[in-house]
Amino acid sequence: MIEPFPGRYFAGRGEFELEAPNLFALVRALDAIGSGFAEMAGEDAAIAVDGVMRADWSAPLEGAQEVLIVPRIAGG
Amino acid sequence: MNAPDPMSKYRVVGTRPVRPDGIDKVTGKAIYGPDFVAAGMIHGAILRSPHAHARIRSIDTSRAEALPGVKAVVTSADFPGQSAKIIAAGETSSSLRDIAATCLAHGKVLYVGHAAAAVAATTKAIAEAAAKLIVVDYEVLPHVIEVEDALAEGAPILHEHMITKGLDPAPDSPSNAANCLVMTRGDADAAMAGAAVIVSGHYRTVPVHQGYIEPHACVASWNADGQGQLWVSSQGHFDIRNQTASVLHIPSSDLRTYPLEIGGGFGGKTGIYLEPVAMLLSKKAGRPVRLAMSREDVFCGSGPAPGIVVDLTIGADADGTLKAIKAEFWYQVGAFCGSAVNSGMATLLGTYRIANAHLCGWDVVSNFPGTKAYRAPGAPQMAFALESCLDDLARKLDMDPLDLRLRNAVRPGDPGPHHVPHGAIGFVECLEAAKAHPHWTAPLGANQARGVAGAFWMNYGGPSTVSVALSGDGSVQVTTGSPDIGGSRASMAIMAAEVLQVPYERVRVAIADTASIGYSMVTGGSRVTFATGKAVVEAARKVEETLVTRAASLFGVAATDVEWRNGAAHCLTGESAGEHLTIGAIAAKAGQFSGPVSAEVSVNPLDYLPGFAVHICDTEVDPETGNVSIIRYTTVQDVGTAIHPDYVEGQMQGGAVQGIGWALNEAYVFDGNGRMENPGFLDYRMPVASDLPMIDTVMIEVPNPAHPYGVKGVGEAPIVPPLAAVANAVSRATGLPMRTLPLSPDRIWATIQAAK
Amino acid sequence: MSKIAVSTTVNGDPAEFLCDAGETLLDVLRGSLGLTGSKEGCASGDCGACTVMLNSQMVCSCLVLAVEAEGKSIATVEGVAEGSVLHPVQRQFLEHGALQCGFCTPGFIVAAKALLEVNPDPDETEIRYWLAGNLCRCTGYDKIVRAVSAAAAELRQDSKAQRSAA
Repeated sequence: MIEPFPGRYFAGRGEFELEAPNLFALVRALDAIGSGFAEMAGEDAAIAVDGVMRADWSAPLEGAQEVLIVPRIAGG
Repeated sequence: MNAPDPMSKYRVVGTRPVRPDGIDKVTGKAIYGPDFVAAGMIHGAILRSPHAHARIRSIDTSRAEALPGVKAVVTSADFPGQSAKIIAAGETSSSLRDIAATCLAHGKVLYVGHAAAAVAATTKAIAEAAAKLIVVDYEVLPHVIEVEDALAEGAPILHEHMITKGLDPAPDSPSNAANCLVMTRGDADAAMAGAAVIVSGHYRTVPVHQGYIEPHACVASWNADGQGQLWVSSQGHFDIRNQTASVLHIPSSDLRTYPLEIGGGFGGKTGIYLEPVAMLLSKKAGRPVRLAMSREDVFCGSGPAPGIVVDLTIGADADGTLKAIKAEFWYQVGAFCGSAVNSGMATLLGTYRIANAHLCGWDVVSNFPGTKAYRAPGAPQMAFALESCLDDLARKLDMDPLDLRLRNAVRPGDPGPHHVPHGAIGFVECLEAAKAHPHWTAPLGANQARGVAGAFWMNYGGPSTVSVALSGDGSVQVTTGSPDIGGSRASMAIMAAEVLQVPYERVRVAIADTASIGYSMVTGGSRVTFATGKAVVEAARKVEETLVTRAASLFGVAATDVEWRNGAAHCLTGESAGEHLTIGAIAAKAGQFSGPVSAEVSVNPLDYLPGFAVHICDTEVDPETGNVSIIRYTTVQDVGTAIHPDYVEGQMQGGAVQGIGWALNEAYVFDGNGRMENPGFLDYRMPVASDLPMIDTVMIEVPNPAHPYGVKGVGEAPIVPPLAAVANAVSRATGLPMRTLPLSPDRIWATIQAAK
Repeated sequence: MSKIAVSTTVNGDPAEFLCDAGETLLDVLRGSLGLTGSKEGCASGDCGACTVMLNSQMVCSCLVLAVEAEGKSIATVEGVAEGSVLHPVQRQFLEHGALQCGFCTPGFIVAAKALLEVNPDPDETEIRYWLAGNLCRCTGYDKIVRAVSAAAAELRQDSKAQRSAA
């Protein structure tokens, strides 16, 4: 994941090796490490799975290699 | 141009039909925010702060309440208590407390123009007179406007609870720095040390307003049973409803919200200002209440775009290959914390290949209205710094500025600003088209020079709901929840007509209220033709599928033996082979099937692609007066596929001209008391027709494979390059750096004089 | 405060209204006369969204007191089309996509029609200077200039056809 999330929730750590069936589970697992992350992520994070932005957090992660969590930005 | 020709591929996509809402808009029939009238409606007025920063000791409304004709008075005491809970607000998120305090000051006023109290009366004149009778006892506090002053030791603090986020360890005392974000890539210091050439600059822009011509307005009606109605012109009535309901602590479904035509937004009409206040007034008065802003209210009470201060250093090889970028920047975000830092980072990292970066960005609050999104929010200011600095680099290397950009431009597969790789982007195609354009090599006259700048903007997708329903006669009704600001009804109709292969005029598009269709996010982020368009196509395809299935039953064949062509089902086999059933013939038989033909689709696509643009600008500088004339202007942009090219070109031209205004004239000018000195269109000088040349457009079509017709967002990218394109031209014309905007005649003249 | 009675002609029809001394013509058009096609963008004569013709003079109706309209004829955007037949300026605005949000459009339509009445063949510069009192924030004016130019050509064609018919 990229800033501001590592600094704000994980004491600067930005890389994790986690097993999770889908993004909800992944975010829950991260929330167990960095409390408050899940609530924030629902509003402010965008998530890419193997380089493609993923809207549906319930879709299976089977076979996915890399999940990238970045700030959500939209325009005017 | 390697883009496919849409004319050969599509029937309706790429044509330029008249927009379906056109006649209403050229004859004065269209109903905008300030035009709507509800039965029994009364009028509100808002009392605004005369102080840039003051504590509210007390508010005495008794004299206002006693004025004949006054029906209601409200202050923030009438709001339910607010938490710091973060809710979605337009395209970003804000704290509920800040949203509520934007509508009515709570405890303190934070800028001149901050709403302090409101009144509703039988006439507007009585309401305005009554507002003047409200006595607010202020304890005036020192104020700050500029970033440097806001961060200075001992500066007055706007929010006593504001502890800078993103610092480790967290500070133990509050400050005006809302947020600090550091982003690194590779090793910027080492790469900079090894660079053959280093350029750097200190850049500054000031707050500017979106400048939509229609002031904010709404009508609210709140009944005793808790159910309310809201008529509002906005970029997204669902989000207006949700924010208003959140502030008022009521269920969203109790607040039916109707979209009125919107007279421009550009990001500035994604949030709420008047709506909950009008609701409270209506509840107290028992009547519908209209609240509307004046132009001065718009300037002093609604969100401008942030200013910025940037220190930027770029290192490159002798051949122009970028090696490293270092930046520290401060967004001047107004009274409430903003969210532009991330998009500033993205601007620095998304446009060119840069392996090594160290970026540090700050959000700094100060005493002017809380800033709001303005078309590619945060990007134009940062692109001004980046593209100006690149121009310095090109001059230092004696390199063609387009060649420098071509050498470094991001290509498909390169890491994007957040590491997610760029998809089917067309930046290189844009740069090549700019280079090949006759403008690039046209001769220049005395005191004239040419500037160029590139641009990247992320765009967005997100949630939309659409229904496509057939009438018994086969005519098509498309219903969306996306307000039409720039012709999107036409592009929705085009896409539905393309799928169903019916004439454009057989499709009609309505924008429904919040009770009549599911949620759609705001019209913003260059998302509607992409995301809502995807939903239109998907729903139209479902309708087509139903039509084919029903036709197959009527023909007595399998659905696979029916082909949909020219708005009719054609039977390919069996006894009916060669026969066809029109869309109307099938729709008319709804009574013999499971029901009318319709489909509703909700989507949340995030497979949008960013926009890239290149602008070329010729300026002539009058050395005697410092006045700058724009002589010629060309915009080149990767638009994916232009669904309705007129309205794509219109976005490119309109964005370019807003950027020209930002570069040359527009600025919030504050006096020593923090009062905006130019809150009107005479002194806040937006470009007029006689300031400008024609704006040439070159649409590069590199389709987005994730959209059925290749759509990419087009609305925001065009405001990103003009600030630097203009400044680079003026720099080249004068031979002097132009690192502070606006480039008003007095500033240019003073720069020229100082250099003598 | 007692109201003042004012008699005028609006878009060719007699119209009477009562107003306060301080009310503007724009207030009355949009208020008691219900003609909301004229827009208020600034109320200071800077944006031109409220442009109307007063005795054939182009004015910002926000800068005219309603009582000044006594005995005068007013033409607003609502009267530009003849019944359901659009004026060439209106039609060319649509054909050229010369509007986005459409809020400034009524003012531009009235102003452009007034231009073509005094100058049937304006060049680009003349169009730009005539329309410099009308702000548009969406289009960058390019398509507006083209639309007005096309409307001028259409009107010249029409009058030529009328002359040769006569």
